Amino acid sequence: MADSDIAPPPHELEKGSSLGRDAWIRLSKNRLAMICLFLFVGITIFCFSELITRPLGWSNNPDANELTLRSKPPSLMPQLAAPEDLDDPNQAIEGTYWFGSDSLGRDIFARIRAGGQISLAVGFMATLVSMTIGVIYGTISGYIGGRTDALMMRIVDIGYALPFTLIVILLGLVFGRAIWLIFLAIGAVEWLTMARIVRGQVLSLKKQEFVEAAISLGYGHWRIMLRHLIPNVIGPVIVYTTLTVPAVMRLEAVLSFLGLGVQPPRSSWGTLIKEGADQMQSEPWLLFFPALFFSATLFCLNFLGDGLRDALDPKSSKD
Amino acid sequence: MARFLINRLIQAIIVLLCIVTVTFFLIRAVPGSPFQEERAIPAHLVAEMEAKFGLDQPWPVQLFKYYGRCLTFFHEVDSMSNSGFTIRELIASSFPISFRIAMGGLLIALVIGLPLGVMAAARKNTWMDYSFMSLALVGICLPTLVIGPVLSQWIGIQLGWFDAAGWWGPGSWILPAITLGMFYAGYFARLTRGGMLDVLNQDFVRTARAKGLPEWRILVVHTLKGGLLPSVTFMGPAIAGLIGGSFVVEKIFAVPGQGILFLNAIVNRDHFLIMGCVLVYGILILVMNLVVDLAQVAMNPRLRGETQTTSE
Repeated sequence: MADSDIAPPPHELEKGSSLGRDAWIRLSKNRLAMICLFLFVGITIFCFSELITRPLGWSNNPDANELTLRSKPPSLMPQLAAPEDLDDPNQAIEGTYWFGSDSLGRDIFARIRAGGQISLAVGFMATLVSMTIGVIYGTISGYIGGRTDALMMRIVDIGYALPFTLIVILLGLVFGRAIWLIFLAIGAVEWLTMARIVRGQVLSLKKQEFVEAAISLGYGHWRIMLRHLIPNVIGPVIVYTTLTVPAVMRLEAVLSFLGLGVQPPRSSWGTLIKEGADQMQSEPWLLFFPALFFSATLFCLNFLGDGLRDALDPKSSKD
Repeated sequence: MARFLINRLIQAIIVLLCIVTVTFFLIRAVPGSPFQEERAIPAHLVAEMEAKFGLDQPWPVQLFKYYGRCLTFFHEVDSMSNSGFTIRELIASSFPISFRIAMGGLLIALVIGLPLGVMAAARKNTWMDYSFMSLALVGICLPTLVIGPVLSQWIGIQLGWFDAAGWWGPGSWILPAITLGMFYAGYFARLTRGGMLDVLNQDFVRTARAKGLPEWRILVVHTLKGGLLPSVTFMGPAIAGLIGGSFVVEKIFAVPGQGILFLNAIVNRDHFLIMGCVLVYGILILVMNLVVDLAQVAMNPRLRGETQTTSE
């Protein structure tokens, strides 16, 4: 970013300013990243607020199907059921479907919100798992160094050569019914790059004086790793975590698309896109809205990751 | 160089051993049996089938038999569900299709991604840069799951330029390859732009400019090789991703490739076929990684001293 290397005004220099605050100032100057941040937070709130609005009756139940109101195109106005579908011609059934309804008469608006909860939860939980494994593994490997490091990194190399997608599919099959285990399975194969990044950082950090000082004070290895090394690698970790979430969500969508991920009656954006793709000719809105939300989320997270990289590590900034 | 190759060969053997072992235990952990059908099969027939495929033996014996079978690459081993065909025949008929789609995807990613990245870097911070990079982001953010059906519907059915689904001839691989390549085209464009900008900021480029070389010459002769390095490094993961990604694309376009074979094998719990597919993918990724590493060494003289390059 061109404006990231502007020196802070002098009075702020005197006050002193933490790394995190500096990064936040740089990030907030990056207009695109901020738009993406707000949009992403907005989408998250939009999806998870469904947990509150549904019990209160303010929004449609995503699983409720009204067969007489099937395949209604998107409209802000209430739509009436076709008279020939009604048993009693005098009775009137109407429903409001902002994003249309599917061939079973379910509200796409509600289903996107419910599906988003699963997709986002999978994205975050799996990333959390992969981040934890990667950070611990990378820190230990970099800190111990020597032969242990060489061996541990060889294992990571081997991991890179494994056919990921196939193993995730097999894992998805083993844990098919339990959605929490899918998070774990995806996280368990996504930690390799994180481990490499952290290990590289720790290798250079452990040669610095503050680690030497900690060693000479007689601190234990765990304390040095937890209190001195890990806090210092947090920048790259945050950046890479932000970029892992969309990768995981993509993987989850692929699994669900193949019918091996989230199983009915649960739905994720991946399963919604699959259903939409099947009926694209007759009901294009079934594909359009889930795809829009999914793409927008991926877009925001990618841009946010780029912005964070620029903000947390101005030196590595490419432009 | 010889040492480098031997190292990689040893590593490859370890990787393959890991793949076979992990897959073996995963297959066993999957609920269901290959001989479970809608109609109940008499118990003695099931026992006979299990004996035929060696499923009645203790698992260490089975595991070692798997190693042996993998060594001969499933020579003369029948598929459990598709009886009458050996694993080798099934894979030999579907693998070239997947491989062509994956390589087509890679080709499209490179043909679109690299020029976009170079041009964006050459015209940094102009409308050209911004529009190309936005295009690249669209490619990265639009999921394959969406691009595929839309392309199939729009170009395949409405415009009728290429086959919308199935595998009928040379026109069939174009839409799947485009679908698969879009994401990587965007990624390559971004990497190339970054790599080119890094090189363009170096002193020797300034010298070249000061000497009055035309800008195209600086770009093509002096910076291109260095600027493409990040993309070459990314080729390894990209190829692995393309090969794995061909799954979804095959499903979308109903192409009878190895992804479909693998999915069917999983549905049928066909142990040997699952193992065979995983093994083929594993070997392919290993070979491609080796090729990419060699290309990297060839392009970057600084790496020539090190024999232990690792694929990022």
